[in-house]
Amino acid sequence: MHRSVLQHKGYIDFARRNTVEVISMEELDRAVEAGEYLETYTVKDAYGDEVKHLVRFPGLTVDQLRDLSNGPAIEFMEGGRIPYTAIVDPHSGDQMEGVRGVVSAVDLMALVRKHGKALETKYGKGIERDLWDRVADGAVQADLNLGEGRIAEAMGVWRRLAELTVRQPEVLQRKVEAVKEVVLASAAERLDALEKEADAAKVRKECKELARALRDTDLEARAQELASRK
Amino acid sequence: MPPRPPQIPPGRAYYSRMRRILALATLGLAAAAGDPKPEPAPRWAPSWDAAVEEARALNLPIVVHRHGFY
Repeated sequence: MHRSVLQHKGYIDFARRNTVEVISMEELDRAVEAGEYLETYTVKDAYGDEVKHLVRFPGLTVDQLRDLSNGPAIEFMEGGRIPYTAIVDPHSGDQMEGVRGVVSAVDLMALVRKHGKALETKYGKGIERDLWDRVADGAVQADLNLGEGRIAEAMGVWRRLAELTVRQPEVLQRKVEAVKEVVLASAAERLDALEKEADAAKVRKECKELARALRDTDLEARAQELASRK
Repeated sequence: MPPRPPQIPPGRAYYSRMRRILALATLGLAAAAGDPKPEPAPRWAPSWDAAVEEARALNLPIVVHRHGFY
């Protein structure tokens, strides 16, 4: 592996702000069969599930690395020789530049800067990565809340995401809207269940809270109606 | 807590509906004690589709590194 770039602290910091990084490895199945190079460490995800990530490719499982290694990234291999580095326009899918052989971190950063500027000139400024991550993490928080039946908290997460992204591009707003749809679907299911609930005091108490959480949505009136049921 | 079908574990009830949004979430990832430490590396996209989606949204180039083990 090309450690002079991929383990270069300057490149790692640079990549965080300036690129989306894809790794693609030749002869992965040989390494799997030989039990070489694929040491793992275990992480717990937000759901408490244990996942094994590769020490050399942090954040990736061996299956993800296999899919990446056999996927569209191969199309950018000019000449079939490794190592190969391709800088790709994500909008057109075209290779903007390809480098055969070893490239230094400094040279690669210069190429990325050049092509990043070209993308910005053509398509404008993109979303900040921190914001992108916050929306993804917010979706997990909302999902975890729903899994525990905390609909009001999940609605709160959605409202915070909506405020955060109000002036952001449509692609981000669509993600936040998808969170809202899932939360409202869960809320509707809960209201269905409460409608059949015999304990009127319990229904009133929970629906009062839900009505507050669901303000300005199509479900607010239904929650209020159940909250006022005698 | 609302009733859930027993086959759906808590916390996963809506996972499938949100999986596209969750693809890049980093929340809650914590390494187990005693395991080897991950090597320094850029943040790898988990899939080609996720890379394209993120790179379009952030308007950043995708950098593909093709290497070999042997």
